Amino acid sequence: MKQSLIIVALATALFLTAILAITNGSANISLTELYQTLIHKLGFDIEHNTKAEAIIWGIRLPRVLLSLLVGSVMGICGAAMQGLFRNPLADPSIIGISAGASLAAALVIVLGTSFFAAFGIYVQMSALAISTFIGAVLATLLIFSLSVTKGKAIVASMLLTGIAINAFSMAFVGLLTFLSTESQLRTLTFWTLGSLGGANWTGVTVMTIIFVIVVFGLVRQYKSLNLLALGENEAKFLGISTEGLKRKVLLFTALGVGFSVSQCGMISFVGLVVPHLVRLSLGSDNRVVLPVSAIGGALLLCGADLISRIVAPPVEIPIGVITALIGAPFFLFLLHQQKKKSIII
Amino acid sequence: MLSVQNISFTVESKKLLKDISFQVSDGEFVAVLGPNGAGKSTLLKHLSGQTSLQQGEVIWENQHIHQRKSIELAKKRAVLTQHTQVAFDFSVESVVLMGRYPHFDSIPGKTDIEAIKSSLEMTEMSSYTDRNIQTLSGGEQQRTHISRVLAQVFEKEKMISGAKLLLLDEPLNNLDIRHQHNILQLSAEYSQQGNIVLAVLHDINLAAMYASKILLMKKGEILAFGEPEEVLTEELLSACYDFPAKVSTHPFHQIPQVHFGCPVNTESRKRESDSSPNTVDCGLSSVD
Repeated sequence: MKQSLIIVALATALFLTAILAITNGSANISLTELYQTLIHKLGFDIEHNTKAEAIIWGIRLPRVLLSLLVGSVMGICGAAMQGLFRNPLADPSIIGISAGASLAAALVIVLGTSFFAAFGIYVQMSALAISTFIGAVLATLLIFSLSVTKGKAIVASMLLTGIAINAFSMAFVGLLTFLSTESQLRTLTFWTLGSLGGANWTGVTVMTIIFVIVVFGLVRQYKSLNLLALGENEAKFLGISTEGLKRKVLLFTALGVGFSVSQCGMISFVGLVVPHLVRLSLGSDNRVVLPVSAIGGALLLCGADLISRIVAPPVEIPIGVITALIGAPFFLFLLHQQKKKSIII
Repeated sequence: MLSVQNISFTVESKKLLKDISFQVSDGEFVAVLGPNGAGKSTLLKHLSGQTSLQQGEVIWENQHIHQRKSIELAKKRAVLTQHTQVAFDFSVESVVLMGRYPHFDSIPGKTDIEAIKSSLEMTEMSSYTDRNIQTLSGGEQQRTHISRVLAQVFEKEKMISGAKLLLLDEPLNNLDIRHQHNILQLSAEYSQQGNIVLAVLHDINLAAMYASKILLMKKGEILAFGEPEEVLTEELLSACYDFPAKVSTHPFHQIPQVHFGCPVNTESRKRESDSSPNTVDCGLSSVD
């Protein structure tokens, strides 16, 4: 009962935030204009404001949709990673998966632009998406091989690997800034701080496909992830192929994180904050945690994007800055909680 | 029937199991006893399929246990391990429900719900269903995990899908006296329905009271295997634990009861009493 109430409240909040995010910004749009545009786009003949329609259809709607898709993918990937590592600190951005993806992105932007550009914009975009995916996979494998022994993630190694990957990719991106042209530099900044400013319908389409694959792929693993909470051996005794589960979760997470990074750069902490709040209010059953983390992630990212646009218009604060401002103190709070429970290291 | 044939297991040139062979028939409750390092848990890991075989065979119902699919095995065989730590704060009920995961696809069926309810009742955990497992005491957590493995091999009407196998590694850890008896009573009843229960225990007298057979181990070898009356003798136990043991009969049940720490025989006691006054004398005289 309490569960369904919270879920309904979240879904309502998500809907309202999305409407707010579409109507608010450097130019405000009225609800009537939004309604008219949507009806018109559905093919009905209705009186409408073409300027408002251009803003809604060309800028706001893809941007809001992208924030919802990326946010939900990040939320659910965070929840799945934490289940796999059996630890609430395992967030893709903290343990270095996002950094691995953005390093790959930076490499492609600076070193590969001229090469891939020769094949046209679509090849360039897919090269970027594929390389971020590969970067995410490689980072995940590295973290896993360094921090998991006998089915148990050593938290210290996990976080330290994250520090190393984060530092390395930061340094490498720094190095690349020397090699990059002015426009590449702007793109790099966009990548390292994260932004939804580049949202377009192609990106929305790609992310919709990724969203469907990742969300359905991960939600189907809810039983296995629950069993993993008992321990690797116990999960095996209950019929789970833990190796298969690891491969699936790593693949889906790398897919989700990699494509999210390729669409809007590195946005950190969503996958940490959201699943934790969900567990706090709804318990740890992954049947609930996975889908609700997707809803919560969408809500958080959509809200953060809205804030980034309305705080000081027409200037946009990079969204990664906002999520980090919320997330970093939260991370410290979590560490404090773990210390109390003395499960760290 | 569970048949163990010539199992040996070596880790870092240390032989943990040496050519172990024995057979357990359906309906038997076997207690595995022995001092620390006897290889009890290692043996259990071989029976559960957790450790891959180096030498020998484990055959259950005419099939090699290591060759069976883990999901098929999970429907008929449950394992309680030591020190199970749940990583997140699950409720007692959802932990016990995990025992039923091999039996349903996405929504638990009627039998699953019944299994949870009945196994929670059996371990007297019914009033804890909504409690967070991480906030429970050690004994309550242990009872939750026992409920989970009982739910896993729960059978509504007995023997529909053949004999089940229940492997328990020190199930009495952290339990108080009443619950120790209760869990062993449950294990005995479960085996009497035609299933096999094999439990690593430390309390010999409890084992004598409930188990139908006792497997006595020492240094990776079987010292004795048979009914409690055959295995629990003063010679075997004293040799097994390197500690003098006396065996008497339980005042109410006709079963052997073991007492440790008694003097081995009257002669040695006499020798002790003969020699002790002398040493005291020596001490006194030196003080003088």
